Amino acid sequence: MKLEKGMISNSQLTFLVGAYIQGSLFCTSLIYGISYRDNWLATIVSFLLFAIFSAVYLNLMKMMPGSNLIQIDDIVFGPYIGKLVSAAYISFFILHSVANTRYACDFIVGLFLDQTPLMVFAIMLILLCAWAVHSGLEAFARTGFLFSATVFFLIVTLFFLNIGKMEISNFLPVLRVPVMDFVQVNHIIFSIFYSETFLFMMIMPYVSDQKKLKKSFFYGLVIGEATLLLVTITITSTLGISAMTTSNPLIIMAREIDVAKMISRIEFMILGIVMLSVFMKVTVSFYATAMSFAQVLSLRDYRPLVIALSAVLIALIQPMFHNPIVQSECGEKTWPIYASVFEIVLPLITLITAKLRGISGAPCGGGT
Amino acid sequence: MKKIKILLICFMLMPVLSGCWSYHELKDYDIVMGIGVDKAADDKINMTVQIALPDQIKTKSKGGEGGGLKAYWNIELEGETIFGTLRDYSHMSTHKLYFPHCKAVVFSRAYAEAGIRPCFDFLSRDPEPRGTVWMFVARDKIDDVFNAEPKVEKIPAVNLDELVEIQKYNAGTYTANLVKMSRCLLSKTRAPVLPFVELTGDKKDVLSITGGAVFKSDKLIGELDEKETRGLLWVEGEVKSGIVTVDNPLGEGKVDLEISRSSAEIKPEVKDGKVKITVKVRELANIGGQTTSDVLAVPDIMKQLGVIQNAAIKNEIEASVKKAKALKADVFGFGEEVGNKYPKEWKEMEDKWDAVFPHIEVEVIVDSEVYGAGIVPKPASPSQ
Repeated sequence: MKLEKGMISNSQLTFLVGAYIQGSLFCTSLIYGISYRDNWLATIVSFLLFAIFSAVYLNLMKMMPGSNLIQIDDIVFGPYIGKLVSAAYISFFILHSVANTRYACDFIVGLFLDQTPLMVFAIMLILLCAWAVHSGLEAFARTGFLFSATVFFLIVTLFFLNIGKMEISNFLPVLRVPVMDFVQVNHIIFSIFYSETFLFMMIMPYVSDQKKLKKSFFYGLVIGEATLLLVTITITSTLGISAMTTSNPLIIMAREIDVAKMISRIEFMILGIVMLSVFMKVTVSFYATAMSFAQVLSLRDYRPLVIALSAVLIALIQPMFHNPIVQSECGEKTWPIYASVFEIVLPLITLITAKLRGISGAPCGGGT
Repeated sequence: MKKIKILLICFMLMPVLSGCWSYHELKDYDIVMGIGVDKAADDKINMTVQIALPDQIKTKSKGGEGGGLKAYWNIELEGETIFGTLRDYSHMSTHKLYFPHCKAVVFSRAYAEAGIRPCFDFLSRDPEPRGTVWMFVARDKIDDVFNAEPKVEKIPAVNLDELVEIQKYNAGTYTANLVKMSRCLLSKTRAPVLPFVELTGDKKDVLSITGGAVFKSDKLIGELDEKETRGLLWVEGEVKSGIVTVDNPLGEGKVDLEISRSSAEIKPEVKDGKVKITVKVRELANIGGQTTSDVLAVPDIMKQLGVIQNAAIKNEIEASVKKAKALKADVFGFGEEVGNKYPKEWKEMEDKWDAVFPHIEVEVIVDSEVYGAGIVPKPASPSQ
C-alpha cells in the first residue's frame, strides 16, 4: 500500500519546486562571501547545468514510476545495500533540515530579534512545519503557489525600489574573477540552491500526471532561477563590492532603499520573504525525512513519526553549528562538497546501476 | 478529555502569544540623531551623541514660541573605543540609545586625520545604524556644530541631513553615506571624499556644508574647494543642478547658466604602459540670468555661450584633477576604470598606482549646450 494517499497536480509541483528554491534565498550571503561581480552569471550557468543534470533524477522517476527515492534504492540495490543507501539519505535529510532551520533562524534572530534566544524561534518554526507536514502533502502543496508568488512579487518590488541606486559599472569587468572562485560560486549555487531539489524524488511519485513531470519540474526551476537572478542582479548593482563584507547582502540592500524619503525602512519585506520561503523549504525537507523514515521502517503512515522527528530536529539545532561564522564557513566550504555526495554522486550511481541491471518500469506496489 | 486537551494547548500558547520577545517600546529608547567623534588626549576619543527630545519638537511647532527649550540633548563622554564609549552613556541617560534614526556622523579634523576606520567599523557592523547615514568632517569644534541652532529645523543633525538632500540643487559638495564610503574603503586605489561642515554667518551659528575632504584610505589628507568639488562631481556625472557663471560674449557683464542635466563618461586607455583617461562630459543648461541688457537669446549667441561654458566646465574639472594629482589621491576612481578595461595591465599597476596616478594624462572633453532662456528670454530694457 502507498504511504502517501494524497495526490498533487503538476502545477502544484511546479510552484512547490519554485518556492523550495526560493527558500535558499537567504543563502545568497554564502556566494557573496566569495565574489560579487559575476554571481548573476553564475546563477545562470548553474541553472543550465542543473537543468541538464536533473535528467538523472527524472530518469530514475521515469524508470520506476510510482516509486519514491527510498523504494528506488531497494529496487536498484536490493534490500540490504538499498537500506544502507537509504539510511545515508535519511541522515542527509535530517542534517539538511536542521542546517536550513538553523541558518534561517540565525538570520532572523541576528537581525530582527536580537534579544530572543535562537531556540525559541527555532522551536516555533519547527512546530509550524511539523503541523504542515502532519496535515499532509496535499495541504502544504496548496500553499506553494501563494508563497512562491508572494516571494517573487516582493523580490520584484525590491528590484524596482532599488533601480535608482543601481550602477552598471558594478558588473564590470564581466568574467574577470579567478576561475576557482567562479567554480566555487557555481558549486555553492548548484548544490545549495538547485540540486537540493532531489528531495522532490520523495514527492514526485504522488504527482497526478507523471508524463508531464519533466515539464513541471523544469518550470519550477525557472521560477527559482528568475527569483535568484533578480536578487543577485539587485544586490550586485546596488551594493557592489561592499556586498562582500556584509553578513547578509540581502538585508543591507533592503536597508539602503529610501525612495523620496517616503518608502524607507522596508527590510521587514525581507523578513516576509525569508519566513515564507524558509517555511516551504523546511516543510518539504521535513516531509521527505518523515516519508523516508516511514518507508524504510515499512510503516503504514508517516504521521506518527512527525512529533518524534521534530524532537530530533529541535535537539540538533543548537549543536549543529557553533556560531554564525562557523556556519557560513561551513556553507561556503564544507556543505557543498558534503551535499554533492548525496545530490550528485549517489543518484548518479543509482541511475548507472539501474541501467546496468536493466531495471525498467517495474511497478512497485507496497512498502518494500 | 478533548476539552482538557484544548485547554492545555491554550495554556501552552499563552507565553508565545503574549507578544514579541525583542519588542522595542518607544518610551524606553533615546533616539540618536547624530554622532560626533573627536580625538582626545592619550589616544582616547571624545564622543558627542545628539538625542532628539520629541516633546520639545511638538511644543515648539504648536505654541509658536516654544519656551526656548532645545529639542535635543547632547551628551559627551570620553573613552577608548567607539562602542565602549557609546555604551557608557547608559550611566548618564535613563534610556538605551537607539541608532536606526541616526542621520549624521561628524568627525573632527583631528580624528579624521588619524583614521576613521574604527568608527566606520562600528557603524557598519552594528545592526542598528543604517547604510543611509551621512558622514561629515567638521572644520569647527564638534561641540559648536552640534550646538548650532538651526533656524528651520529643530535638531542640528536633522539639519545636516536636509543640507545633504538640498545639494542636488547646487552641486558643490561631495556627499557620501555609509555604503558609498564602504565601497571606497574597500578599494585599494580609490580615495574617499566627505563633505566639510562648518559654521558660517556673523554669529557663527549657521550650519553649512562645503567642499570635499579628501581621504587616503581612511585618513584625511587634504581638501577640495567648492570649484574642485564640482569638478569631481562633473566627472562622476553627479551634477544635477547648479549655476555656471560665464562672461558675456557680447561685452561686459556676466551670464548665469542653470545646469539642467549632465552626464559623464570615463574612457581609460593604456598604451605602452602609459595611462590616458578621457573624460567626456555632456551638459545641458538654460540661461538663468544676466547682468547686462544685451539680447542673448539668439541662436548664434547661445552657441557661443555653449562654447564659453565648455571652457568653464573644463576649467573646473582640470582644477580638480590637478588637486587630486597633487594629493596623489585618486578621488575619481580612474584606477577602477582602468582595472575594468585592462585587467592584465592593472594587476601590475595596482600596487604602484599612487606613483602612476600623478603622471597619467587626463583629457577632458566637454560637450555642453545652452538650450532655453527662461519664460522671459529678453531683458527688460529698450531695444537697441
